[in-house]
Order: sequence, then C-alpha cells, then structure tokens
Amino acid sequence: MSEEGGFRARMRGIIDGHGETHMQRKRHRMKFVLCTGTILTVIIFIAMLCIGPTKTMGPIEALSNLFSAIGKDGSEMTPEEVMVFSSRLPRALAALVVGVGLSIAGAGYQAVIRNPLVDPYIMGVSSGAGTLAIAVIAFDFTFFGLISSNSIYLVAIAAIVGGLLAFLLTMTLANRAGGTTNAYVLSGVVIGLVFGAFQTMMIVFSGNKVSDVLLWLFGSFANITWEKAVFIMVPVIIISLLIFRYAKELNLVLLGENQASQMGLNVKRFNALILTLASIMTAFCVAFCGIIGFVGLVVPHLCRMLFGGDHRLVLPGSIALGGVLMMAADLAARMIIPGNELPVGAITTLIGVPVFAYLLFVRGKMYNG
Amino acid sequence: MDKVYENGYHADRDVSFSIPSGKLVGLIGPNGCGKTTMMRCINKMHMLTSGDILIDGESVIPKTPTEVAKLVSNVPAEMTASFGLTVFETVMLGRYPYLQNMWWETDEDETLVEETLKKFGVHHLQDRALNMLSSGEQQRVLIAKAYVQEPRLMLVDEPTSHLDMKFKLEVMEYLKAMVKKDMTILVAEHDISLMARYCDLCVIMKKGELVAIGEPKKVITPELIKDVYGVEASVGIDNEGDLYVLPKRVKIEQE
Repeated sequence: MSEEGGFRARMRGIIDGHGETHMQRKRHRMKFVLCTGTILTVIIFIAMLCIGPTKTMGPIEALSNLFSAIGKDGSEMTPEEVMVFSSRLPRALAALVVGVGLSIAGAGYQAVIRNPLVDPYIMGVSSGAGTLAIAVIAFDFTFFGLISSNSIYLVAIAAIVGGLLAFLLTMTLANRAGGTTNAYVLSGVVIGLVFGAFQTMMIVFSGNKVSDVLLWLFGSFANITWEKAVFIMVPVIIISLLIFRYAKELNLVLLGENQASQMGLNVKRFNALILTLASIMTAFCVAFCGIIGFVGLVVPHLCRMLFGGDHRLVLPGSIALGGVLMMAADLAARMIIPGNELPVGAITTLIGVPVFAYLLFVRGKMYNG
Repeated sequence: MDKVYENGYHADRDVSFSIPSGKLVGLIGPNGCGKTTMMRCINKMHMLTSGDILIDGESVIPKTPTEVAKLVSNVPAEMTASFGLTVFETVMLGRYPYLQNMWWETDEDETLVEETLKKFGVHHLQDRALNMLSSGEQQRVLIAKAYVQEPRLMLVDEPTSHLDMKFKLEVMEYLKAMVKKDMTILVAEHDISLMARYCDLCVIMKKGELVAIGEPKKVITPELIKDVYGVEASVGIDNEGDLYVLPKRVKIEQE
C-alpha cells in the first residue's frame, strides 16, 4: 500500500513538479504534456516510417531515404524512397492528424454537451457521411455528373457533404426543440438512425461492392496518398487551432448554461460554434479514412483522468495522445497479419479499452453525480 | 446603490425599489411570484420588457455581458455535474470576466482565490472534484466563486433549500460576513424566520408585484403573511429578540 502510494506520489511529482502554487503546478503539467507528447509522437511517427509489411528498416535508413527523396524533388526515386516518402509518410501524417482531429472534436463535444458518453459522431456526422459514401462506392453516385466518377476526391467529398447534411439536420431539429444539450443529443441520435436505415438498405442492394463498402465503413489508412493527406490536414489543423483558442470557455460551459452566460459568455452562440467546428472537422477526418471509432470518445477522457478537467490541459493532452494512439493503432493494423490490413477502428478499441478500463477503475469517481 | 425595476411582462409587474449599498437583502415571496425572473433580469440573462435597472446609477441595459459580470454575480441553488473540475478550478472560473492573459490566470488571481477558499472554509477541499463534496460544502464553493467575481451585487437564489438547519445557518453567516464590504447581497429564500434573523432589509413580492420593503421586524406581520402566502401564521419575538414565524395548519379544499 505504502509502496503504491509512493509510486503515485512520485508520478504526481513527475507530472506536476514541486511548485508551490496551483499555477506553477499547472504550468509544469503543461510542460510535461508537451514534452512527453512530442517525444512519443516523434518516436511512433518514425516507427511508422520504418515498419511496414513489405520491408522494415532501421530509423536511420528510413530517415535517410526520406531526406534523399525530399532532395530529389519527387523524380527518379529508388523503391525504398518511394515506400517511405510516397506511401508511409502521408499515411503517418494522415493517422496523426485524424487522431488529433477526432480527439479535439470529442473533447469539444463532451464539454459543450456535458455528457461523458458523447463522441464526435453524436451529431450524426458519421451516419450522414457513411450514407453518401456508400452511395458513391456501391452505386456510382457522382452528384448528378458534377464530379468525375474516377476522381480520388469523389468518396471524400460525398462523405463530407453527407456528414455536414446530417449535422445541419441535427442542428435544425435541435434548435427547434429548444437548443438544450439534451435536444442536441436526441436530435443527433434520431438523425443518425435515419441515415443508418438508408445505409442498411443500400448495403443490402450493394451486391459485389459490399466488401468495399464495409472496408470504408470500418475505417482504414491503407490508401492514403499525399493529395489525400493534405486534403485532410489543412482543415483539421486550422479547426483544431480554432477550438484550442476556446479552452477557457470550454471550462466555463462545464458550470452549466446559466452560470456560463451569467459570466459574460453567449452560451448558445458558443455551443453552436463549437459543435459546427467540431462537426466540420469530423467530416474531414472520416472523408478518406472512414469511420474510426473510440479515439474521439476515449482520448479526452484519458486526458481528464491523467491531467484533470481543465481544458487548457485536456486539449493539448488530446493532441498528444490522440495522434499517438491513432498512429500506434494503424501500425498494428498493418503489421498484426502481414499483407492483410485489419480495420484500424477495431485496433484503436482493442488498444484503448484496457488503458481506459484501468483509469476508470482508479479515477472513475470524477464522473459521479 | 440604486436599482429601479419596472417590467410590463406579467412575471414582474411594475416592481420598483432601490436598495442601499452594503446590505444583506432578503427577497421573500411564494413560488412563482417572480423572484427568479427578477434576478435574471438584473444580470441580463433575460431582457427587460420595459423599465430599467440601475447599478451605481448606471443602467445595465447598454452594458456588455462581461461588464455586467463584473458588477453582478449569482449563486445557483445547486450545481449540475462538474465534469471533473476541482474546487479550486471552479472558484477560479469566477475570475473569468477579468482574465487578461491568453492562457493561464495571473498570480494575483490565484492569491485572491486562495484567500477566498480559506475564508469560506473550503481550502482543505481545493483539489477535490466538486461533485464529491456535501451539499453544504458545494454551496460554499459556489458562493466563493461568486465572491471572487468581485461584484457590487450578488444574487443568491434559494441557497439553503436542501440544506439542514446547521448548514443553513452557516451559509447565512457566510453571506452576512461578506456583506460588510461594498457588496450588496440579494437572497431569495423561503425560510422567513431565517431571513428575518440575518437580513438588513426584506423585499416582499406577490404575483409579480412588490408588496413591501423594509426592515424585517417592521414589515413581517401576520397580516402580510396572510396576504402574500394565504396562510395564517403567528409572528413573534423570542426571548433573545429574534423574530420567528410559525405557520398554522391549512385546510385542503377537496371536491
């Protein structure tokens, strides 16, 4: 018992430092989050470049291939350079960014809706995105000929449009129902069910395309190219930074709508803003990679349990852990059965659950009441 | 401090009064008499239909929410789930209207919060999650949060409604002790005896209208209680000179 107490105290010392005041301890905690986050991210990122089913190389070899490929400006690359630069690097970047994006979106949703069960798909984004993506994959839906049927962006754009459509329907319904947090959750569930029903019907009639459809729905980073990675990265980074700026306000809304608006915050407008930003970001995250569950639900909770409920620590923590968890899951997804890609969403769950269960066991009391 | 309140909206009809600075003011009236509506109008959570509210002679209507938040703070009857925020973090949120730094609060803010936590006897609980405290402790934390907001007027809505006798008295003692600065406190509460014991002034409302305002011992009479609540009550003074109200049984009208 005393040994464990000593261990915990030592861990606290490492995370919090030995500052006299709360602010000193929080600043130290922030430094801890940033340092360990950066170190872990860099380690796994480099591992993503080194390890693959066709060839595994050492970190130095991988980096030298990477830099020589960058030096060559894309022409006359050796097969190793192509592997690292054109295949593994965009895939690693996409996994990193989607992990971060879903985690930040999840943290924002949970704070605004004040419900720990909420994940980025609560507003129906995933169901809407899935419905239109299936329409494209299985039924060659091309927005009535607006987009060429062999464009690499077709599924992505369909997913984004579908996600935002579902989100707008949810918002409209929720605002009609009074705009309370419960109205958001219930509307999201209802709209999600409607799109889910369309999905099931389309899957039944999708014939030999059913495996393509399921592959998309389960989520995967297998076919990420540079164009696709950039297409996800730019909006996700911008929106993450925007949400990041509102860390203090996210703390404030935890006190409840009345208290927050009494402190000078326009709560209705703020909630709508965060939900919109998070939903757009979620739509971009699922655009190419499909619906990857669990990360957006669990990473914010992990951060709350590790670093406390203050969003000025939860958000940086989500960036650090979200990217790391997603990259690790993707690495596992392509390595567990070499030559066969496992659905990355299943892996995130399998990695995350034991960690989450342990923390829930130790720190779960914070959600009581 | 002047506060004039008139409202055409039927929740509050032509209510107008002013209270001096540095007083503990009790707001008494039956359920649905417009107490909460009035409080919400004062801190601009609801818009006035007509009339005006003046704090230090200045109208709140043209002020931004942040400016109002520096003048008026409020203490809710209870707190919903705090989502893992600690007592310290909750109280620190009271400094939100004053924050200048991009990210962290200043050391001055922290000193103020520390002192306030000590003052309200919750300093030893500062790293606990809010939802792990007892109701009385939670109420003190919420008052501390309203206090670090450094308002001119603090609105307290039924602070003791689910507290037992001792916690009720404690909360009122804290409110009474706080009022000595240049801060006025307006408390809505159902326990008239408790109000009479602690308040400097009583404002009595019925069906959205002002019935009486004045020192508790002068305004609280059996006739007034009959008028406002429709209940027969004996109002007396105990051996130590404190006022008490003892309601009689009422007859339930059955069909």
